[in-house]
Amino acid sequence: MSCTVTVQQSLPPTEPQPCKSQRLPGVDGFWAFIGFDCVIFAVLFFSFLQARHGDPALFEASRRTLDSNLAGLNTIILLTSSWMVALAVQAVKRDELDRVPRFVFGGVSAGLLFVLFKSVEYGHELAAGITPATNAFSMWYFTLTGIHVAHLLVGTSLLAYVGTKSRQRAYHSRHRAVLESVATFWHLVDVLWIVLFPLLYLQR
Amino acid sequence: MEDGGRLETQKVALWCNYVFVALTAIGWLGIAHFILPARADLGLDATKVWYTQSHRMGVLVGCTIFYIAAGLLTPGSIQFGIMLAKIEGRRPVMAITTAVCGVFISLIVFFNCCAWVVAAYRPQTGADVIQSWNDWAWMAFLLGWIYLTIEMLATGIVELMDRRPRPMVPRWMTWFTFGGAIALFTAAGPAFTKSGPFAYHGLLAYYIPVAIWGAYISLTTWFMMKELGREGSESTPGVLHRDRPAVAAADRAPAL
Amino acid sequence: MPLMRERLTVVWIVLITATVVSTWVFSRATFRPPVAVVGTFLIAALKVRFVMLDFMELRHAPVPVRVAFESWIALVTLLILGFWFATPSLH
Repeated sequence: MSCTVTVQQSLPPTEPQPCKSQRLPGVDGFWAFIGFDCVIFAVLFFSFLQARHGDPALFEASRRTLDSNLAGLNTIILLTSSWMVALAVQAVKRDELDRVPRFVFGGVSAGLLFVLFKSVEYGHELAAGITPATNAFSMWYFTLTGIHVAHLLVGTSLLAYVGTKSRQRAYHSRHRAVLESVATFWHLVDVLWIVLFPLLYLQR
Repeated sequence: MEDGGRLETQKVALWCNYVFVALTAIGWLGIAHFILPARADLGLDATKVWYTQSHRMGVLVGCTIFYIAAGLLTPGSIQFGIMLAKIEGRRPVMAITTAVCGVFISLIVFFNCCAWVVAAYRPQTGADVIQSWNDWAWMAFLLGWIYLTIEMLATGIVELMDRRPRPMVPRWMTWFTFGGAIALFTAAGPAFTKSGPFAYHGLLAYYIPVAIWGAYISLTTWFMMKELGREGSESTPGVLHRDRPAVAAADRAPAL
Repeated sequence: MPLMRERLTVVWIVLITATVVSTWVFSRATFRPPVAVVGTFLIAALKVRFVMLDFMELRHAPVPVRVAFESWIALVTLLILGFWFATPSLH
């Protein structure tokens, strides 16, 4: 492939390129964090699957007590949120600066909606007497979704931060690394849920 | 020359980290057999047998090696702090935090070794007492993740302050450090379970955090060692200074 | 370009459709468990791939990075399906 590999987005290309330059969006080195997070979650998935292998009947019976409709709705909400954040990054690349905060806060709202529905779901489970200590499946369910929700809360806060800055026009096509990295982290939160949802709720 | 002398002691201090990692692997994981430790759900009698019979000599020798290694983690951690303070400049709170947390861990590991030695010391001790000493040592060891997390976060924060074209630590390593720091929290699991990956013998509570710890110490030391090499060549007359340190010359000999 | 014609929007619609299929179609009893589970996780893998390539812009990333993340998708999917088939069937 004869593309020019550009490492930093701050330097403009000096000659016309035959195809789009290969670059990793965002703050330098941040993708190492994303990769590390993915590896850790792969280990968590493996440990969960190992536990399920040890007691499939218990895991299946407990799985049936979960509300996959609500969680499925949450999946749609998170995908929509990711879409809006991706649109925000696209807008900043095109210097359509008015649209950026709208898309970012759209993403924030969807994130908060996820938290709301997740809380409702947790509320139902706790009210039914299901806690992390109930059995092996419930321990894994609360641990995995809990770690995910923690990621989501951090991501929502970061989105709110960059959303506020984007209202002040802090980001534009030549200065967008922080926005891009926050977006990348948000998409990671989405990716993890795309796997977690069927892993916990749909695996019969 | 004074500067050269300081460089030598700094290198010795960094080398202490390498020796710590090596002795930990050989002594604690190997000789004391903590690569496959007595499981939390082994039961009273089997735990006593593990410490007073099957692994007694290994624990006594291996934990002796481990506490000696832990002592070396003190100068090693202080040197981490000094290297970071060169970047952070005046009022190096994060650099000092790194050093102090490392020293805390050095002391914690020392006490853990004492407890494991006590567990193996008198074969006639009651099984529940042996189990308690073992449990205490594991809890103090793994629940100390908080100090390592704070140390690693402080390290990463200072590394990000390094604005040179070639920073002391490459950015991908800094972000691995942040990721590792946060992933450590699974070491909080042992308080809540005796079996599975979150128990003190488990994949998520023990093996991965220890691997993260070993990688952080080894790799960070390696990059810092290279930096000292850079410093050495910069103070040699005639060598081109391509990477000027970010801090002012007055801070070359930091007064902490 | 109007929103509906953006590539990102098309990808989003595909993702939503895929979610509906795996959540509310494959979960029905009319599908045998092996079919449902394999279908569900293949769909999940494709969804993750779309998010990584289009939302996270890995399509235009340096090749080694893209390969690493696509390998992660493959590995996780194989892990899940491997364990599922290795676990004693309840049906």
